[in-house]
Amino acid sequence: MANDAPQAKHNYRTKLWNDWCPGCGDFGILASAQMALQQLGEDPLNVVFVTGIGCSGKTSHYVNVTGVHTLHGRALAFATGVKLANPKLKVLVSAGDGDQLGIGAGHYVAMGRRNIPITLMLHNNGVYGLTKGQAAPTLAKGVKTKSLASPNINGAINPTLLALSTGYTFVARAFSYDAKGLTEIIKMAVAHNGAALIDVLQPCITYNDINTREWYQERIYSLSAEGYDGTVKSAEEAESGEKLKAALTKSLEFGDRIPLGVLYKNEFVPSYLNGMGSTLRGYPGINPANEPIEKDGAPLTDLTQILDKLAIV
Amino acid sequence: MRISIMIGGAQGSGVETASNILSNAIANYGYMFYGKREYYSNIKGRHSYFQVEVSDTRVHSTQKDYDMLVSFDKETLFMHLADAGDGATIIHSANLAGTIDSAVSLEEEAKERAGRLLEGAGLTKDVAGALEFLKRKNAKFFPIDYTGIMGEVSKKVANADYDTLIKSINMQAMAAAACLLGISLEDFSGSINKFLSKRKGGMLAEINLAAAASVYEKLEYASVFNIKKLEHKKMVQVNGNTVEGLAKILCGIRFQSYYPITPASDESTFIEQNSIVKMKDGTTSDIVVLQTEDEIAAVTSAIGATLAGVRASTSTSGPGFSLMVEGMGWAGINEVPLVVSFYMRGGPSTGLPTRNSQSDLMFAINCGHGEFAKVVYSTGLHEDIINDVALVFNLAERYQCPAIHLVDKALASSVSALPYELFDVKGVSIDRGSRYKGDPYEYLRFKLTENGVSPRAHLGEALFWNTGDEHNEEGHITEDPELRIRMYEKRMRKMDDMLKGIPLEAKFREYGDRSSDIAAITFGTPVGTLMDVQDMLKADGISLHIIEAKLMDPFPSEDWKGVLKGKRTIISVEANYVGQLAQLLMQKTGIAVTAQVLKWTGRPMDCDETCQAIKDIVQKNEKKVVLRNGE
Repeated sequence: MANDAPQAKHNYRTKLWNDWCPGCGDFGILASAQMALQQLGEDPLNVVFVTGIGCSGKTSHYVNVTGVHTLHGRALAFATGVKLANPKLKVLVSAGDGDQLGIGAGHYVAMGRRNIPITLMLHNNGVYGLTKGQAAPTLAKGVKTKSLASPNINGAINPTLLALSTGYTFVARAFSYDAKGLTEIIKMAVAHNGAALIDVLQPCITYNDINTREWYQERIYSLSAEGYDGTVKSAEEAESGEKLKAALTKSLEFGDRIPLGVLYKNEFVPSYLNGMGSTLRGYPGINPANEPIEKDGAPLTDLTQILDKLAIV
Repeated sequence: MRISIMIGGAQGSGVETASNILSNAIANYGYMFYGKREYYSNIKGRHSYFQVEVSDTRVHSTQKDYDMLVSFDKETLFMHLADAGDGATIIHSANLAGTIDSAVSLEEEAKERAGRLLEGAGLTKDVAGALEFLKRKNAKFFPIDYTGIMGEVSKKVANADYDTLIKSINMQAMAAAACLLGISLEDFSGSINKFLSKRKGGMLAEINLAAAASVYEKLEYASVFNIKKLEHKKMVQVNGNTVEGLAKILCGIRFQSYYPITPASDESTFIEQNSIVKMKDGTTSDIVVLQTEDEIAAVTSAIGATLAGVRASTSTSGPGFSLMVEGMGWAGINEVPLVVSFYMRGGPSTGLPTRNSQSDLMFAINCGHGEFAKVVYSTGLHEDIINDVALVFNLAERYQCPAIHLVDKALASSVSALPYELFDVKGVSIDRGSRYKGDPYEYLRFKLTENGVSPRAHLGEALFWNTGDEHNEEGHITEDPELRIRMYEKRMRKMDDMLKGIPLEAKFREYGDRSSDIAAITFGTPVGTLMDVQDMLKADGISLHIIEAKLMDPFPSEDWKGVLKGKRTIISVEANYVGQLAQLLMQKTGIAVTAQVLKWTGRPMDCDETCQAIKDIVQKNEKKVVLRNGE
């Protein structure tokens, strides 16, 4: 990267005062995302940060790239439109567990099914923080966090298992206080040509008094340190599904030991952009957002061919 | 000259293709037509029908009494018994028999209605009774031995498969209709070839050509209507979904999202079929058409695409729009020029999924919580769609707000054959609004300006923020009361400018006698019906000033006060129960309509019933007439 490139001197932090609770797990995710973008050397104008609703939704306001703070649960759907209309943009999404796996679960599943090159950072803290700590879909059954009147009677969604089974081609887990590890995973995810989920375990220091920083630190371990390699290396290996099976098994491990790192990475599945391109002429090589549609106010489209098909002969 | 043809049959049996072949042959003789398509929410088996009005001048509606019935089954005979005109031509199966109760696909209420009609006439409740009923109305019968002809054809065409032979029954009936209209066998065969020659290696055409020839022979080439070939310009056959799609392609959309729903998705399918767009310089461009997981994703992905800089749109009907409203609010507060085509169908809830309605006007205007600037624009005629869609996109981008193009099911699925030149629109312009050209790192997306419009940058062009929260000029969240006032006013005052910038003829459109003191106000497809009605009313010495509301939000109150000044009678004509346009008019101008014509059966307004309603209002001082025509 040349030193005069905009990204070299670009400050990825905005000047806003951050209103998250001091010590919030969100800070680790924010710092990691900022570091990853700095290190990736992308043109800051070429990055779009999309968020949902809740504390995590504010992340886009703290990252100094274009930010689209959307609706509860809908970040991925907005991001889908952004990416498909301008495939050259790098699109990152921050969404909470309630945001993405409660109200936005349908979009979560659809993202895997389509395999669109978008990076989803799931802020997973087990609670709805901004509305005072109700149980979120990832909170384990039987657990009673601070605000709950009685222990949680709902089962927990396993985000990595769900992502693997719906077609995400990059599935990883990280811990928000491990900024170094998370930064590396974000960089890999952004570079990945397909749907990428990073399940980021993060404490909610105000409302989740069970899954605390210490609770996680006693359990987490690095997959790569134990020799696990979730990356599919060849088309044959992709075909066999062995890596996917291993990842599915690994994704079930969530108790005394919680694995961190890349569970699965498969670049042999064509992305949705390629699928869409197969039905079109120049896409995704041509960028719909830059296609001229008028000149001096006159439409450039020629309808003759279509009208002729409707003509009575 | 006007001939009304009623074509009925079981849904999914091939009636649609066959009737397209017939209508193509009619249009080729230089006649225009308007046809309404009525069908159940069903894939196969229930009764569907297509009523076509053939004419030498443009008509926009159907009438109750048909001149010719084209039928294959007894369901069609019973269902449309009451609407046979005097002396109607009846094409039916020579082997038709059975009671009304044996017409199993008919709903019980329809069976009872037909039964009461026959009983009242002292006739048996079966096919024989029905034919006798028609005979008393001076009907001319043309029984066709469909299965017999099928047998003959199977002998003429080597290796004819049974499925194709069965479907030739449709073509036999259409051939009979063509023959009786006065279309030559040669011309009708030409139409068959156009549609079928390339299918199933020519077998399909061969079978149907043979079937048609047999029918012409059996009828001894007799004609009832004797239509003559007219000199005519090149014609096209369209429905509302098609023209809406065509308009969007012309206006330069590069992204269309949708979730399958009747009666909107045919538009998206049409765009997808034409997603590689030919440009005037000979190159091509691509339109991304995305079928989403739900309507929420349809609207929000279209917003995302709009932010990226493309002209984007989505298309839905009431149930889908119910899910989309959260996206409308977000587009409102973020000043996103998203365009939504909203096809009204019968509600509430699933309601009448395949039938017409205009009960979502207030819903469109009041969609979403909170207050925000938006455009709601209505279209009622096929020939207006292209210019209207162009205006909707331009308003959305010029004033940076979401825009709803409000149409109805009757517009979506009715079919028109019209001169080609009506759709080869030359006057359409594209205005993409004010754009930011400055330093990409010094951009203020929501810069406070005098007219409220902040120059727009697309994602990737400059650094900015969006949020559904109230925000400052950069797009960051604010809850400051002073800034709240300024940002709120900025967004809302754009509407004042818009009202000033739109020409009067785009706010509402006037037809008929402007000097008349009787005004009929309406929106959507009833405007076409009223255009036909005003000609009919002349015979009774009634002249009608028709005003079609187009710009619904922002509502041009002062212009309405002007156009309604001095009107003694103001009749609102709408396909809903409460009279939503009348309510809107009252709310925005304080003007009360003096009478209402309403219909909520889900069937479009026929010209004859609407004509009678206006007469009852004008001559008998009726205040409210509820229309019921149509099976």
